[in-house]
Amino acid sequence: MEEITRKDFLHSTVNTLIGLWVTATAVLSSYAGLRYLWPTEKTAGGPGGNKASFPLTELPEGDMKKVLIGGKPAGIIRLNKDLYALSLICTHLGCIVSWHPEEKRLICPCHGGVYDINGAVLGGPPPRPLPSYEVRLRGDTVVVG
Amino acid sequence: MKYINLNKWLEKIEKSVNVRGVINWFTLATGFLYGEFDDRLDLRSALQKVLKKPVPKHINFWFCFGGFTFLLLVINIFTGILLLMYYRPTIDQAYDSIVHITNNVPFGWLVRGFHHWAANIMVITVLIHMLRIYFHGAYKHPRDMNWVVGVCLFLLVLSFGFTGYLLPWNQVSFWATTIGAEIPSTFPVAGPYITYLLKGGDSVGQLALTRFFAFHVVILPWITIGLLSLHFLMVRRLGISGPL
Repeated sequence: MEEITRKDFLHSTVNTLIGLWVTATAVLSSYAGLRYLWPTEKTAGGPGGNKASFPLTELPEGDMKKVLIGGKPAGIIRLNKDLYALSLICTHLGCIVSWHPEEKRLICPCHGGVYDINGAVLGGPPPRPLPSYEVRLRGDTVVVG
Repeated sequence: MKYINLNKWLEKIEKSVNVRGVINWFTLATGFLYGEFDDRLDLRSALQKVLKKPVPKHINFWFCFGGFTFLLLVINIFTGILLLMYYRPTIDQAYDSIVHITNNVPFGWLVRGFHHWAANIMVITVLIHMLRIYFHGAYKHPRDMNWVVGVCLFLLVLSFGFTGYLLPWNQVSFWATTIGAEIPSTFPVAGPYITYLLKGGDSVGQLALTRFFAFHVVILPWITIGLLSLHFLMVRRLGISGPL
């Protein structure tokens, strides 16, 4: 039976640490790589033209639902039984605007840009109105894009 | 002196668990079937001959920059292949797909960042490598051929940079390519034709993007791999140059 010397012990300790490090790196980069390659709702559509749909029951009156169209955030607002679909990217510096149901306005939290329900600028720094999307009601399903 | 008796309890574990089998499966799964190949082809002795080659005593930090450059090249090949999974080389979609990779694809920012920074740092490491060779006089006979191959590789790194710079298709890349393509127009006789060919027409457009893309991802990498193999073979054959 062989005894382990201090040198051998240090040797195998360092080797084990290197092995663990390599394994950890391999596991973490495979995880990141798989996440990178795995198609998701955000990535499968890609940057081209795109559509989104969801049942009308998910959108109560006066509320807004966020969807992704071509990977970009859009908001569907249901107000007075009408549907409005707007891009949520503020035309000023690209922050995500939020829907304020009590004022019936879209307000950008960054610099206070104010838009109305059709996307027109009511105040603040935005240079252009919010782009709108085509939105239809097909049976009980809301179809955007 | 007291020794640490690891073997005793390692043996105990070995008896209770089929450690050998687990290790065999581990090597089979992770080590590219190394154990099984070694069993048949005796890879160990062959690899030891290659990997355990002694290096001279005078080697220091400055001798590492060729290796750093190679490491960065491997990173760039790897992340470049990953970027290819999402990039779209058309003037309509190139910029959008870059934004998509950076903002929407999980870890896309990381992959793109690695590609960007490895590419930039590579130019620095390749220059330091070149300066080291120059100041050590390592370019002299019999290593003069390898110096020539090295200079070609340096130009290839710059060509990678130039072609890759156009691919995001933003204002900077458009104008950088326009300026870069205009430079040869001052050459006598052939100048305007070279510029026309580089731009793929009168101004940088879809043709230039497609061709730069083809050069960046197919043509230049294969030339680089060929020349790099020569570079490494010659380093191996000639050895590392002597101390100052």
